[in-house]
Amino acid sequence: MGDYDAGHYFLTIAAPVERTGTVTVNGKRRSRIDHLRDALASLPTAEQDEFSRETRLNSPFARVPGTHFARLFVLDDVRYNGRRPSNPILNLIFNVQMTVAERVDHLPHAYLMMTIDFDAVDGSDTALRAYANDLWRHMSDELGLIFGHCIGFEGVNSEQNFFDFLRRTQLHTTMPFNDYWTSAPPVTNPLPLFAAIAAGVTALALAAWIGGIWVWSFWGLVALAVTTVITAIVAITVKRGLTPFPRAPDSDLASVLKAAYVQQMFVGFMIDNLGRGGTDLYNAFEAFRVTHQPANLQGPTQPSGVLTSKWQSR
Amino acid sequence: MCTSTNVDQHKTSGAAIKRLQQPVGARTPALTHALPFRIMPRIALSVAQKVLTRMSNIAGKAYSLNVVTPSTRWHGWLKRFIFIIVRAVPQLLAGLQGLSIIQFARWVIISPNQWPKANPDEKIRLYYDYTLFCSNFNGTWDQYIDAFSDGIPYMLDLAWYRDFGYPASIPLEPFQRYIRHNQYQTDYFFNATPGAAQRDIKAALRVWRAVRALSDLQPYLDPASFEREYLRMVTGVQNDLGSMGPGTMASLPSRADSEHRQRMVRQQWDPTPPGSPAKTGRSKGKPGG
Repeated sequence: MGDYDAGHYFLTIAAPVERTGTVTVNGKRRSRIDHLRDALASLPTAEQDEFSRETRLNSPFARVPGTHFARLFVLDDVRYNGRRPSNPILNLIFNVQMTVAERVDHLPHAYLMMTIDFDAVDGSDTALRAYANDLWRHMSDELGLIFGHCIGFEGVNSEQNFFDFLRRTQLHTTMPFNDYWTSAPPVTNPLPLFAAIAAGVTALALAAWIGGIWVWSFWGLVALAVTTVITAIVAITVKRGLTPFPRAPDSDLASVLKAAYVQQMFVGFMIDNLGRGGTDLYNAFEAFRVTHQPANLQGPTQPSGVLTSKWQSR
Repeated sequence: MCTSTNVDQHKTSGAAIKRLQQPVGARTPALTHALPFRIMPRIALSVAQKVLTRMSNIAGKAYSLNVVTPSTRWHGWLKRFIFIIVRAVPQLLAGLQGLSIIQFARWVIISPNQWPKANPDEKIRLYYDYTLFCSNFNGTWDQYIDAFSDGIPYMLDLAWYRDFGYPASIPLEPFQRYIRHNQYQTDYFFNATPGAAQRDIKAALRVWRAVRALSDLQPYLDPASFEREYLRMVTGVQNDLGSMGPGTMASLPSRADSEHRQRMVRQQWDPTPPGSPAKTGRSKGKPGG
């Protein structure tokens, strides 16, 4: 129900990986999953700390427009959480054998899980296809390196194939969450509406009973009224629950990066112009405005996947 | 079924990718002829690289948490309806928003027949529904779990409603054990704004809007009026001028993990030593770049 919410697409991919598969390199056999993990561990990250800053490399995902977050991890198998608590009295009555294990699940394959949060206009296939095309266009080599270990990726060599692969391996998000609201989100509380529906149906039922329109059992009328109220509330709840939240203003990545850039530049500007006023300040801000173009998303901005933008003091 | 593939058959190209296709052991020089006292540190380094670089939960100020937990099919459907109710009554999300440390998060409830198959005819035999919870949050694991447990215990109890072994969000220690038991380490994590936490982004958006408004206004103001507006604007955003940058290292092992990982990345994708001039465009490891 929730692949799309508040201007973002919450893509979840589970690509099967053969658990017992191996790869052979230079005559040596190696676990495929181990090799895949090694490939992921060696993929360049964003500039995210002092060590990654030194490498002067950036993540391939930084090349794909609109990508806020991406993560990959191998799900070897699901974990057993122990026997479920049960009532000892009922166990005694029904002769439940506590020494017999409950059913334990094992996934048929390992899965390479990938989740990406990216900007989208809606949750349609068109939006996913546009992003999948961007992914393929900007990092097809890295995608081949990673997903080449997954079952079903053989023969993927074009944008169309890759989109089909994503659709085959996509899991649908149940509950997405993102919060880039700088003020209270414009959402309404449905409880007054529920109360009004209940009051309205009750009034109608009473009128029908008192006016003699309802000629059958009183309890039948009560049951009809309660059923009507519950049906209306459930219908409204489901409708609201499945409707995406509105997009927060400026919550797309281009705006977020521009905002980060302008904030850092403005802090530098403020420090440089402490104590100035009048024409000096006016001219300095005009130069700032021309240089950094605060209203222009295509103008100077912070690249994706870097820690900071550096202010050049005059 | 067990199959073996020669990695050279994969659709990859480029020197860096070929280097990456070699196992770790093949990338390091042969050790057989080295003296024992020279071997041991190298073995230790290799092991440390393999172990420590296998975790990538932190990217700048964001931590990525993955938790997969089982529940009965019936409770899986019930949880789907609970999430619908939570979204229908957004006031129930106020606590989650109030934490102001989560940038993106998702819950994915997976039924047995929804797991992708290796081929269309495959029959997947699973008994339970699974809930995948992925969160991008700011701070350390301990801070997050503590904040979750203290701030929105009812929301957690709804999100993991009747999952096997779920001990309830309060008291804290059993809840921490439950999360730790069901957590999967992230192998690769990308954050487009690693220097900014969620509150930093909101602060930057407020400053950006104020600067834009002042820029729009400037052509219509004389210098004296502009100075007044400027001071008014700066006063208005003075609490939003925090600095961006790397997050605090959560622990020494996290720091060591990052150091080892970046050494490995550099080794694979760009042998240029640190401190050399910045490269432009794509990384050296990117074929054709």
